[in-house]
Amino acid sequence: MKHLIIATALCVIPVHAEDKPHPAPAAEVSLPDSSIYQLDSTWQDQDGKAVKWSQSIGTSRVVALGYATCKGVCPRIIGDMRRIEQALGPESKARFTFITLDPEHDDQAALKTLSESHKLSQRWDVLRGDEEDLLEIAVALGVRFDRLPNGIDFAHSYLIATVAPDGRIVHKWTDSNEGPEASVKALKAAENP
Amino acid sequence: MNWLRHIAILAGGCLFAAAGEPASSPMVPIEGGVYRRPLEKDGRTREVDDFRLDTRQVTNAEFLAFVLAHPEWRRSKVKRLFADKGYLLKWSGDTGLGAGAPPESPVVCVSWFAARAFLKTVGKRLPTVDEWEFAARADTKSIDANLDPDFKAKILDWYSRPEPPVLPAAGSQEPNIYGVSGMHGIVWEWTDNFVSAMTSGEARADGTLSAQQFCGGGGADPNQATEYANFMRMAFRSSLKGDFCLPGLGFRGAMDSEIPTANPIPKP
Repeated sequence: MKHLIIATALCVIPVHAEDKPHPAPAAEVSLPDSSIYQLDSTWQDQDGKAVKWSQSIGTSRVVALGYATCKGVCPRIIGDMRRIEQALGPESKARFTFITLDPEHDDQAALKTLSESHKLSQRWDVLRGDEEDLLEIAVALGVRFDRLPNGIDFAHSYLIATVAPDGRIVHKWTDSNEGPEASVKALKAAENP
Repeated sequence: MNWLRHIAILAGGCLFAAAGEPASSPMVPIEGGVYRRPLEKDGRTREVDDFRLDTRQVTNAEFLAFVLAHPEWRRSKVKRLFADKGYLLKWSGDTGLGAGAPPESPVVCVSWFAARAFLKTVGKRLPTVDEWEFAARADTKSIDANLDPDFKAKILDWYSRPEPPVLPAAGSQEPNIYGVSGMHGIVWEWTDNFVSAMTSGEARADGTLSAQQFCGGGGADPNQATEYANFMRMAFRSSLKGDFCLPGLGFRGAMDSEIPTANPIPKP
């Protein structure tokens, strides 16, 4: 999929050749200006594997931020992401990405426990990163968060972002009273343009 | 003890001038402490560590030098993910300032991403919300003038004035007791974790919406019912997004308090 996009991008370059005397690398050219896959960050998943964010190019993602010990809105966010997963079916190649707001306490073992307790499928990346990268992706997605006085919990947005294979955010599910339909529709349209 | 503080400020300024950094504002040390973030509920206090803060905002001239060295941050090149269409809109062109943006005035129309990229090149970072608010409580005589009606009136007076078409020079305002100029009165400023400001419709950890947050909260807290200026700042922050570029919004740099010395003492 990635090669397909790069190939497409190469075909496009000559059209703009006049105003691009120094063409950027193909992988950059293929990305729209608003792509969040331009962010340069590396994460650790629930199995301890490194996930380089920019290597998401070509992969659609359903992304939300939360934390492992969250009793309230996070289980609902994960549950709602699973509703998207079920509605999409196996033909979609989307990855489901849950990023912890609390990398200090949510170590790899905590993320592993979280994914096991929710019986998350192989399509899930439960990620932790450094505070800088976390802040940057939260800002890029429009997620707001703040640690609460007890030092354990966070106030944070209910937000499930649907990201196209080229990194464009094609939908944000921000009202927990709504269903997964709009996210599913946006994802299908992005994967089959 | 004020003279001591002033000596500390002078010493701090000299250290930084001698360090040979790329052009950016001088800094002063700010002694941290426990404080209440404006509008915080339940009497919660927060701790602010010692830190260093720029005495003024980053200027057009300094940001121009950055843009010249980093073409990806030019108006014509910047990615929409990182800055909206208002980016550097007051400038006459990609690498020209023009009459609307004097070299010594604070640079405005810069996004959070752009501010962070600039500060990284000079070894600084944006101040956190708490660092900024902690330093912004000070007037010329005291480190906490929040309860002084004159101080509040001055800030509110600025909030109610229309923005001048051409901004005055950064650092032209009377410095507060720390030696920091223009925390109020020229432009609003970016903070690193502005996303921690929430006034409406945000999910709480307990999964419910907070009625206090929903209505903005400030007016509901009898202890701080007069903190209208603070409410304006928190509400403003809660409305920002990282790519926003606004004509009244600039930034200044901060650093952790550890000062790199020429001969660091090895730790045991």
